[in-house]
Amino acid sequence: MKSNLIIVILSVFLFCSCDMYSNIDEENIPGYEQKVEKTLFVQGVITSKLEYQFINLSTSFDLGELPDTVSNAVVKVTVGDSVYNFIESTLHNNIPENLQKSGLYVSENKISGKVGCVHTLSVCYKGENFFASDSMVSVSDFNFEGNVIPNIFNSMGNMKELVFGGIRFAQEESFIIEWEWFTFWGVDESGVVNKQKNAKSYYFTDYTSPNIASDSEGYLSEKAADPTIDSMVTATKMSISEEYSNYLIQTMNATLWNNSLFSPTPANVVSNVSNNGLGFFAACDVVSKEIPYLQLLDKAIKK
Amino acid sequence: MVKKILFLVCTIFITSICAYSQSKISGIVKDSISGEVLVGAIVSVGENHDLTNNYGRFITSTNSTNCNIEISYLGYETYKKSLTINSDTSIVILLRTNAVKIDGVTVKADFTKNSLNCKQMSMQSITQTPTSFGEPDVIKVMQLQPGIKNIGDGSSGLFVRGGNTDQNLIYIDEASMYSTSHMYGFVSICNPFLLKSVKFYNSYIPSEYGGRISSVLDMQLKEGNKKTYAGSFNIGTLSTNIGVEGPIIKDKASFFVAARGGNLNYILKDLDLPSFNDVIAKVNVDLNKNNTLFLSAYLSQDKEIKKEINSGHIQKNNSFIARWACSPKPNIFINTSLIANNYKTKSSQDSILSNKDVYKSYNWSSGVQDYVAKTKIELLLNPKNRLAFGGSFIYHQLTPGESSKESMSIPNSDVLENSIFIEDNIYFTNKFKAQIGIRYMEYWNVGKAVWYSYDNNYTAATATKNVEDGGIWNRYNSLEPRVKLSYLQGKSEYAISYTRTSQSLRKLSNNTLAYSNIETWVPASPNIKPMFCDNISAGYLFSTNSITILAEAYYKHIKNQIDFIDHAKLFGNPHIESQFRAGSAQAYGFEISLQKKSGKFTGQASYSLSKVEYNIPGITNVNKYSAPYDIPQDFKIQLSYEIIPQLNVGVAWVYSSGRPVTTEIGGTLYSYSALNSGDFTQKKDLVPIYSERNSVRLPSYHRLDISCSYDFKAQKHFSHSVSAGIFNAYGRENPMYYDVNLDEPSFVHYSFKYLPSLSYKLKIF
Repeated sequence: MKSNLIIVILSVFLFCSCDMYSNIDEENIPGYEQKVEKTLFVQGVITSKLEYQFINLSTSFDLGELPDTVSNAVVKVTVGDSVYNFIESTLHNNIPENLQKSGLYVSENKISGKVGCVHTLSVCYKGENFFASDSMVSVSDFNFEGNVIPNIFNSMGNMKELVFGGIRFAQEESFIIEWEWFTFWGVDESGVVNKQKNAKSYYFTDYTSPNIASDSEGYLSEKAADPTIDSMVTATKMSISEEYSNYLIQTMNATLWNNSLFSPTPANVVSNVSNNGLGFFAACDVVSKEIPYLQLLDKAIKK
Repeated sequence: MVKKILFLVCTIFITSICAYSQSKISGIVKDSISGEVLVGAIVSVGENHDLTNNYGRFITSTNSTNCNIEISYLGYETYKKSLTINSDTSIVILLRTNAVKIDGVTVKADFTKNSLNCKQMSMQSITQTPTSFGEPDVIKVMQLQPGIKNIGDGSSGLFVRGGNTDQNLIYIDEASMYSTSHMYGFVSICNPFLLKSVKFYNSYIPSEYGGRISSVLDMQLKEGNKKTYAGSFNIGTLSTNIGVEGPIIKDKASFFVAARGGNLNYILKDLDLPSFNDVIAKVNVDLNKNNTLFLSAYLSQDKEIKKEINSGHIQKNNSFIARWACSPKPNIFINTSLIANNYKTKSSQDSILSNKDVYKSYNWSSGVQDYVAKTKIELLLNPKNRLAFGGSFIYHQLTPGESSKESMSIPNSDVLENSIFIEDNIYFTNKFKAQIGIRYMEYWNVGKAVWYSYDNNYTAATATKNVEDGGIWNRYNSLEPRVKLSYLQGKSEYAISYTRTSQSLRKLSNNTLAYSNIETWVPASPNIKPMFCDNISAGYLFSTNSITILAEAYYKHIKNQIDFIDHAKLFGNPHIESQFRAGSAQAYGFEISLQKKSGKFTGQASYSLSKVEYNIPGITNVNKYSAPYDIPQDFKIQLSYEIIPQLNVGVAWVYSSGRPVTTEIGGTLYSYSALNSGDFTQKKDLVPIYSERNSVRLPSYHRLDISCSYDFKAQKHFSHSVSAGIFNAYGRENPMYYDVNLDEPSFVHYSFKYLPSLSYKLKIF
């Protein structure tokens, strides 16, 4: 009895001693006293599809702070000889209210990028000029075969559903597929309401995964596709340049796989924005295809 | 010029042999109960002192016909006798064990046998030093010595005078160990109850040792009781071990076998801790008076299984050693060893679907296989001159990373490491002593291989070469002079030394985490040159029976030190050699320690001040930056008080500056959901902005450990004791790492505090 008691007490102590962590205020994190130089952060993509194009501008920030809103910037994109003006979404007449926010700049009109052209972003903000360029690589055609077919998730008995998203390495070409579909949202006075959802699959030629545990699969936020049974799924394939591919992998290293056992050496993500700016301005050729959900599911089962 | 130097050396050598006309006293020192030879016992005849060598042998001298001989060894009664010497004499001395006490004192890690280049410890001093979890541990005891740093609780790495953990040559019975730990560093690989002697070199490294540039930790295992059967059983918080020893043929051959297993994985089942076990077996046979054969095996395994996601990690370390010790004459010793060594780590995972995450199966393994043949001949030419020479062949078969996916495998590589050495340990006068040695090493890349060459930007392999013929396809060599000059004055010793060392193999591991079991070894190749280290040190030692004062300063320059580039991908990357850059490292520092060894109150205090800098182009915006283990100051104190002969209490306090890290200092917000949809209203991820490499320091580290032990009254056939302790008794929250979040609170993860321990030891004889 006594020896059992000693073991129990020892175990409780050991358990409490082994894994300890607590909340910490930012000012107590080592390195807090080192301040980052506040600079422009760009996240924007110009596609070859004629549509409104978006560029989001914000700033870098110190620990414990939030980014500044970048309003009143002069934003232009040059494609070949053409120069396109971008205006802030809050001042744009054709952008739905739910997408409007300060710092989000939208092309004045629907525009498209051009394959083979260098696309250059110029931003003038608080008297400083920033430039970023990317070449648009031609996208190849695709079909719903091979690695493009999403995986099957089999969670409840034999009920199967498709899982969208994912990151695959050592592919023949680098590209992104953006999946769009409708899911059942609920019922209101008007009847059944479906909601549009989307997810992304990333394909990289990079020969090695930063996270060996997800050697060829690893899933982003929207894991459960859960489409309505009669839904059509739209897949949009986007080409990405080698520089953009590196940027995306480094961003994933810094966010999704930070501090994991196989993590690469931590370092700042390389940017293509001049003047010490951060982020990436990319140009992507796109091609879209549709497929019924059930057909895609069938292909996935056969895979 | 070379001829002149050779002539001078030969003249000194021959003169020292011929000019010697005193009576020689040679002998062997053994344990009176087990018959095992005692390594490192102090033999004093008048003003002459000597240490027994690895075979328990000594040779000393006297001018007079009547002299007093005194032999002392930790844990044994001091042997004193008057001798009448008419001619050269050979004697066998049996020392009687003094159980736990010497002169009524509990002795801690006792370095009284130190010279300024070699620190020696016995099993007793190791088992009596309090460490984390209250269990004796040779690596943890080493971490308490001045100038040796570690970077976190539980870690079994030794950072010696600006050297990284892979720069230490760690021997167990002459087999080189590639991993020093079980359970990610909580337990070191060698069962401390099986050790006969431990030698540690960190300034002057004798020329018989090579292949690592910073230090040598040479552990010798017990040989087994040649007279009676005995056993031991120890159980503690971390591990249980059991050992049996005894004669196979009385006074001729003996055996020793011991097994150890981890306990924490049973006590804390919910934490999914790894399990470990190791087995050591040894047989030694006196073939005749002059020849002894030793056969030993070391088998260890760590296993971690995560049932929820069917993943596992296994680390194995197996060594087989055959050693033949021959002494054709009382003053000639020949030691020849054949060693096979296999170190392997393997990580794997089954393909499963869980919680809507998809885990693909993978296998990843790495390892090193060694086949070693080496010999050393030691001549005790006279009491003032010892000469040693020999050579070795080591065939390394390296598997830097084998993956289930062929494109992610790193090509295997074979290396042949050949060396010869000679060293003379000579007293020019009674006060002036020198150790002069030279070692020559050849590193050959051999066998079938695939290697890549890179352009100046390292960005891509410009060519792939296949070496099909299996011959030598790349070679490096290294000539390593080593010298130590000592001046002895009474109980003081002044010494200066210079040592050049080289190293072909490097360990690559993820050093961003406090604990990591993922590591791989890679050899020098046409793309990476071996490391070369020049080490200069100067020191002062004052030692009496009651106190020892040691002060030492050093400067070390390492050529071809590597560091990883930004975003380096270490695993599953066939182009791994493009992921780091080479430059240099320099380390310098000052260490001082004071040890009180007698009386009821004993202890040791040490302080070190040091700096380690890398100068590696292409890593940071500035050329020089701190090494990740640059810990400028550390202060360590261990105190022990004997309340009654059976009851002893001890405290240890450790303070060190915080280590440098690369950490988040700011960030930007990235939206994965917005790509071409323009929807930036969704959740955003923090993309950290990092500090310059190793430019931020963690808070300083300190903790207090308390321990006590009680020895029950020894019975006719057994003795037993119990000990208890608390690690980090005042609950200092020493940060291990930080988890910086944006939309959630940030966390700091601490290492252990208020960690209790309890252990029981039983010895049957």
